[in-house]
Amino acid sequence: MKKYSLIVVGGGPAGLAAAVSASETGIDRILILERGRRLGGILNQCIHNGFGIHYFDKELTGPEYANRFIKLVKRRGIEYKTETTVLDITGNKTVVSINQEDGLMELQTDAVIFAMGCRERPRGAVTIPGTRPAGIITAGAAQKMININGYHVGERIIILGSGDIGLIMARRLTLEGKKVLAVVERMPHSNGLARNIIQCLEDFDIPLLLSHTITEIRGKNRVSSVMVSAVDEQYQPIKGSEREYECDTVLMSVGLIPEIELGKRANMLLDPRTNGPLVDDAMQTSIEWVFACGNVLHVHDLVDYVTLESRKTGKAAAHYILQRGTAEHYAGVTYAAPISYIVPQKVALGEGQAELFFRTDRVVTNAEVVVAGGQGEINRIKAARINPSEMQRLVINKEKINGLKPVLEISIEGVS
Amino acid sequence: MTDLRKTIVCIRCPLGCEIVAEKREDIYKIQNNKCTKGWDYAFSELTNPVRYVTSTIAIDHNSAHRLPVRTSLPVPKDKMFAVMSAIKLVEVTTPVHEGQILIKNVAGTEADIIASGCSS
Ligand SMILES: Cc1cc2nc3c(=O)[nH]c(=O)nc-3n(C[C@H](O)[C@H](O)[C@H](O)COP(=O)(O)OP(=O)(O)OC[C@H]3O[C@@H](n4cnc5c(N)ncnc54)[C@H](O)[C@@H]3O)c2cc1C
Ligand code: SF4
Repeated sequence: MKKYSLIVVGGGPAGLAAAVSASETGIDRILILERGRRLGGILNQCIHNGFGIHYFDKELTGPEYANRFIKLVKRRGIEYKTETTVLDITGNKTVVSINQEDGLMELQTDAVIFAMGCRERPRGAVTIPGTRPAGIITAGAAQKMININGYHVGERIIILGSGDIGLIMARRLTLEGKKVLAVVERMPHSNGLARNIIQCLEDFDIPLLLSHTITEIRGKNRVSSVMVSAVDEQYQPIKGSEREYECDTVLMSVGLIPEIELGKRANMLLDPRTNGPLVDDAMQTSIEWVFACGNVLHVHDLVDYVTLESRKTGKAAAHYILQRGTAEHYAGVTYAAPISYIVPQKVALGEGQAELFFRTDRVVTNAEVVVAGGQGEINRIKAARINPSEMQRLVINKEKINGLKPVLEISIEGVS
Repeated sequence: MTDLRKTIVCIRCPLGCEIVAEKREDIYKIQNNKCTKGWDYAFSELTNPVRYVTSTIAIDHNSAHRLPVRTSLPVPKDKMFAVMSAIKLVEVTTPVHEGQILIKNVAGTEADIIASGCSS
């Protein structure tokens, strides 16, 4: 059986950055396994600009951003196999994968990094009454069809959900000469970045209907129209507010979930809030030799943070492989609404800093993020505005977490 | 020139200041920005809003084999559709490398259309 020090599952930006950073930390036998035809992950279909504003201080397109890391992987001589799907990880540190050339492979390794990204919530997750004609697709699938395969998806389009992919597709379709009638969002705020609302919708006068939903899809073989209603505070359609939109296509942009089937099969502990693995601040999962980063851990809005998180994960996995001190004591991270989740879910006690990422479930203005650790308050950070669409980052000095029962409590005070 | 008054949501940082930008005769008045980045942004949005245009083109006459492309510079917002029309007329043959210029001075914007990926 072939033996590696580190196997990275997934060759998107997370897997690439983790592999490069593990290599920089001194790990030699690294293998990246990627299901797709080429490295780069979802970035290959994200041909728009806006990647790397923080990490490279430049506006790159998805493929350009990915290429920078693909070049690094090649330069460092890191081995990779594309069109190779990982099927399982087993208890004796074995990774089972399959491809055309090698058939079924069992590879022995010291550690694994999960970087499988996320997938779109299928339409089934949102139940809309009506017929089930052709012409209903997820926004990401449409993006792939148009940008990779060069197909057309439709002429008159309505988009359900204001997630970034839907917004990006509204602009893409409009520039292709198609008519995007509206973006329909159930919540009173958008789930997309302000930048995308402005550059993808307002630039083209595409209406964003907040607190609205699609109540019915009509059509025999192909979508012919949809009914759109305003919703009340309980997200229930308001009678009499329906309006019919004639269209041939409905794009669904209703959220992403981590692609963590491999973890589930291995009985990895997951966080019901993120749907990703439970990790400590070294991104180590409940299976000691498996680490996780990128969208498989929690859905990121900016690839720049995926890169930063993944570099840290690659380094931590390298330290694990080189057997440089493993943590023994942890502080659990606790929080309450309006915080909707925090990653990592626990922090190893000791020296240095811990980096936490969180999101809120609503728009928060003029509030304070309060960090307390065991024996009282550690830090208090003013937050002028927190948007649910933007992931927040907190850096905490670990030495301040102590006491008999160390915990790390994060709360938001002064929420109006 | 006509007078203008616009509320512009700044996208240079998460604060999202609602900046009020005004032009009266030849005088610009920009208010409610919390920093100078916001001033610059509002000024360009009021006087000459620019955007990158990205799209794909066919490789080797195969419409199902796409090369991602973009403008080398942001172009005036009202030129976006003209740029798209120009992009639709070009094709490339392999090999193509990232950054290769495919159309010079597209639609008179001074920006070029360049490959943002490679053909392999
Ligand atoms: C449509 C869209 C638009 C976006 N727009 C922006 C933007 O404008 N700006 C920005 O900064 N960020 C943007 N993002 C976010 C950013 O691109 C992602 O956060 C980032 O790509 C996530 O990287 P990743 O490596 O975790 O996942 P991915 O890029 O999804 O990579 C995961 C890889 O793992 C592979 N894989 C999965 N399972 C297996 C398996 N079992 N075996 C082998 N391989 C496997 C997949 O094939 C895939 O290649 C966007 C994201 C999406 C989805
Ligand atoms: S004006 Fe300055 S502070 Fe306000 S949103 Fe713009 S960049 Fe941020």
